[in-house]
Parts: sequence; structure tokens; C-alpha cells
Amino acid sequence: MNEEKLFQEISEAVVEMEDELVEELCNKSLELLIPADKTITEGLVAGMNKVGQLYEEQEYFLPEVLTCSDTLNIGLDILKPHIEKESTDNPIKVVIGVVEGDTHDIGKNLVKIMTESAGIEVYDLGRDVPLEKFINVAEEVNANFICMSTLMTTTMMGMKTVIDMLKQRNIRNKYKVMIGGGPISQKFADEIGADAYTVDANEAVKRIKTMVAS
Amino acid sequence: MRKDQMTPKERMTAFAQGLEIDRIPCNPHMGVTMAPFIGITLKEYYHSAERMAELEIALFEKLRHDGVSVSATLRGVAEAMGSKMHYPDNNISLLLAPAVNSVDEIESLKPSDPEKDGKLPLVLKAIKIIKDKIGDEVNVGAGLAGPFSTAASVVGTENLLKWMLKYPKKVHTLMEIVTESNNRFIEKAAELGIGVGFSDPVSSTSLISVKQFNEFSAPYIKKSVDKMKSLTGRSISIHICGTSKGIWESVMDTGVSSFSIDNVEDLAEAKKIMGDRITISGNVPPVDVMQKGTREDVLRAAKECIKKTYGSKKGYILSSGCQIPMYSPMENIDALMDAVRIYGSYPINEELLFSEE
Repeated sequence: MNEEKLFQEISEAVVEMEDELVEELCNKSLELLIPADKTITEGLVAGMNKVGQLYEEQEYFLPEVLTCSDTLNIGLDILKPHIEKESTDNPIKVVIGVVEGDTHDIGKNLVKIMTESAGIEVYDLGRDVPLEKFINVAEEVNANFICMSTLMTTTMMGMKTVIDMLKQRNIRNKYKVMIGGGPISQKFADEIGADAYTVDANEAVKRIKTMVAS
Repeated sequence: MRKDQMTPKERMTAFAQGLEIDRIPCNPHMGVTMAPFIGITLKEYYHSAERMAELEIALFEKLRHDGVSVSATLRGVAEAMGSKMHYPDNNISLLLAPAVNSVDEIESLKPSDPEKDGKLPLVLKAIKIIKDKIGDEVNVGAGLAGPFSTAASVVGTENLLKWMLKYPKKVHTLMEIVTESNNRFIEKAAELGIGVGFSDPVSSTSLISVKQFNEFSAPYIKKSVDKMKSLTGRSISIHICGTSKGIWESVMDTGVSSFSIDNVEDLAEAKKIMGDRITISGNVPPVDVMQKGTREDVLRAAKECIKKTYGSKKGYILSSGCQIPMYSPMENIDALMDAVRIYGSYPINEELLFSEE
């Protein structure tokens, strides 16, 4: 089997949520001595990008995207240990989490899945994240973006607190702050001085890319 | 602004029969987030029937809104079925651990007993207190999570969404058990002579497709609607957060009496598609207007809602697009009530309603 065809099949298996097939094909790629990073990019991630497209077209909804992402991870677990060397170019780095007091994390997970598929390095802090942790981790890993999410009106002001803390430490300009979630709006983003708000995960990835380009 | 001519009970009784009323009804979506109004923490509210009742009665005395209800919360039935909650001092309760962590555990789930399990007995007790105190002036009701949203808190939302694809039969079993829990609560509500409203955020098309809603959510909403109708002759109202336009037809087919719509959807569209069949409610923006806006912002937004639904056949109830956030100024909730007295008094002053500012 040639590489192209294998990548195509892996990509389709991700879209179709076929766990066992992805496992089989990824192992096969290793037997064929195809570089793991190439299989990831042209097989697995290509498939996840197709999933993102189907989500945007409302062919797929959250249940499908989350399930495809599980399939993707099965492949990644097989291939990642075989990546020969870390890529040396400077990846975009994003710190992401659900703000303190809130545990609703599906939206955040979706942004994480889409962002990772776009080749962006994501540091996922999880949910109910202490506010200072967003900043501490961003400093530690030299991130470009701080992304915060919440579904609850009671916790949304935590986003402002993070921005205020950045200002206090005189590092506000080091980061682009992006926010999202059910009660969040562009108006709220403007009010608390966030750099961007997007309505969904696909938009979030596009915005990260345009902000980096400009 | 004209003073109310009817009590909320008289108004809603006439409204339900399609008879003449003095003004458009208004029912701000309140509850636990208003706990600071009587100086208590949210945690205190969640744990005391007396406090729940005290809050609702105090709000009614202040606002004279058109329906008073206590919600079992979005996670209340799930808690009664074994999920673990966390109650912070001053925040909404959070799901700590779902009752079920693997599909194989679904079979062993038991429907909850509203008189014994979780906080459901507190909710029923609060409702009795409220009904005794102000039940002659206003309709009293109970809020429940819709079956699909309850299921999400029984197994975890992410699990529920994925299991629909991988283990559809098991998810149907889960939905049956959850529906039985809801229906046992509905039986108690019927005995008390109160209304029931569903909140069903997880059924939003922001999360699932129309097809998935039709297969996994709508049939179980209908089962509870049928139950309520068979016991009382009355139906159930529903609120769905987030986008919902794609499922409006299906929601109507479940037989619900009214649909409260999130502010991401357009009331003019809602009137066009649903106005002939069910009562429409909503959808003043909770955050940008109710919490952060001024009195003028509230009046303007409410006027817009009344305008967009004007003449809707099954009527319109002014409300916020979702629950009013904590620390929203009471002046803004007053303003929402005033809006129906200014723009919604019958006969409607069309010139005023359709005037540009």
C-alpha cells in the first residue's frame, strides 16, 4: 500500500470514528517505516480537519466531534512515541482552561481539539482553574495566547480578574487573551479588555491564526 | 404606566383560556440566583425549604410577577438518582461526580423517589409553603430539568453525547429511567395542583443535531407531557438555552404549552413558526441587558420583544432569555415588570409600541 492511500484511509477512519481500523492502520504505518509525524499530519490530523469542516457545515455535532477526537487520540497514542525529533520551528502556544468555579468543559475541550488539530501547541489546564494559574503556566511555557471559557454568569468575572492581574504584573501585552462560552459576548469581551471573543471552536482557531499573522 | 387590574392568578387563568386580560404577562426567570435579595447564600438556599419559600414570597411581594416557582435545579433529579453535587457558598451547584461512569452501570440505575431522595423533598415542601401563603394570588409551579439534561448529569454530558453514537440502546434505557424519575415528581406536582416547567439546555442544537433530539430527547419530553396532561389536563412549559430553531417543530410536537427561547434566537422567527400553536416566552438578554444594562436598556429590549411577538395567536409572556444572573440590579427586574405595564397594557397602544425612539 502506498503512503498516500494509507493516509487517506487513516483520515477516513477518523471521520468515521473507527477505532480499531485507526489502530490497525497506524501500526501498519510504523511497519512500513513511514515517519510518524508525517502519518499524524497527513492522516490523523487531516481527518480531524475534515471533522471540523463537517461540524462547521452542521453535518456533525458535538457527539460526533467528541467521538472522532477519541479515535484521533488512539492513533496519536500509537504514533507519538515514534516521532524522531521535535520540530524545531516555533509553534504557537496556547494556554486554555475553564475559569475557577465552573466545571462545564465541553466547549473548552472542543476548542482544544480543533486548536491542536491546527498544529498549535495547547496546554490544557482543565476545569475549575485557579485564576492565577492561567498566568503562571502562560509565563512558564512562554505562551502566546491565554484562552478562558465559562458557561456560567456567576464565574465570568473571573476572566476580568485574570486580565487585571496581567496588567498589574505589567505583562498584559505579552499575551493575547481570548474568551468564550455561553454567557460571553463581544460586548463583554470589549468591556473587560479581552483581545478576542469567538462564538465557536472553528472561529476560535481561525482567529488565533489571523491574530498570529497580523 | 397603568396599574395592574388583575391578580397574576386571574390573569394567567384567563390567558390560558384565551380570554381577555389586562396586560401581557411577565415572568422573569429567577430562583436561586436571587438568594442575595433576602440576604442568604446560595448554599443556604439549596439546603432549606423555608429559605426557598421565603425568597419566592419576598420576590412576589416586590414584583407581582405572573408565576412563582421553585426549581429542583438542572441537577436535582440526577442528584436524587445518585450523582454527587458540590454546593459552593455563593455559586450555582456543580456536578462533582456522575452516578454512572460506564454504560454497564445504566441497567442498575433506579428511578428517584421525590419524597425521599436528594433535595427533591425540600423542593416539594417549599412549594407547599408558597402555595399556602400566596397560592390564591399567583400560580405556583415546579421547575425540572428536561429528561435529556437530567441524563447528562446522571452520566456526565460528554459520556451521554458519545454514548448516543456508540450505545444507543443503553442510552434509551437511561432515558426511560430518567423519565420515570421525572414522572414520579410530576405525580407529586399534580397532587399539589401546581404547574411544571422543564429547562433543557443539553437538548439545544448548540450541542446535538435535530435527528439526535428527535431520537433521544423529544420522545421522553412527550412522555412527561402526556403524564402531566393525563393527571391534570394541563401541559408542561419548556425552556431551552442556546440555539433551538431547528427543533422548534419537534418541540411543539411533544405537546408542550409554551416555549421560552434563549436570546440567541429571534422572537419574530419564533412567532412566525410557533405562534399559532404555542405560547412564546423570552428573550431579553440576561447578561448584557438584565445584569449589565440600565433601566432604559431593559425597557428598550422588552419593548422590542413585545413588538416582535405582537399578535402572536397563542400569546406571549415577557421574560429573560435565560435565568437572571446573580447580582443583577433589582431596578432592572422592576423595569422588566414595568415594561409590560407600559407597552403591554390592553388595549395595546400601537402607536407607542411601534414608535421609534
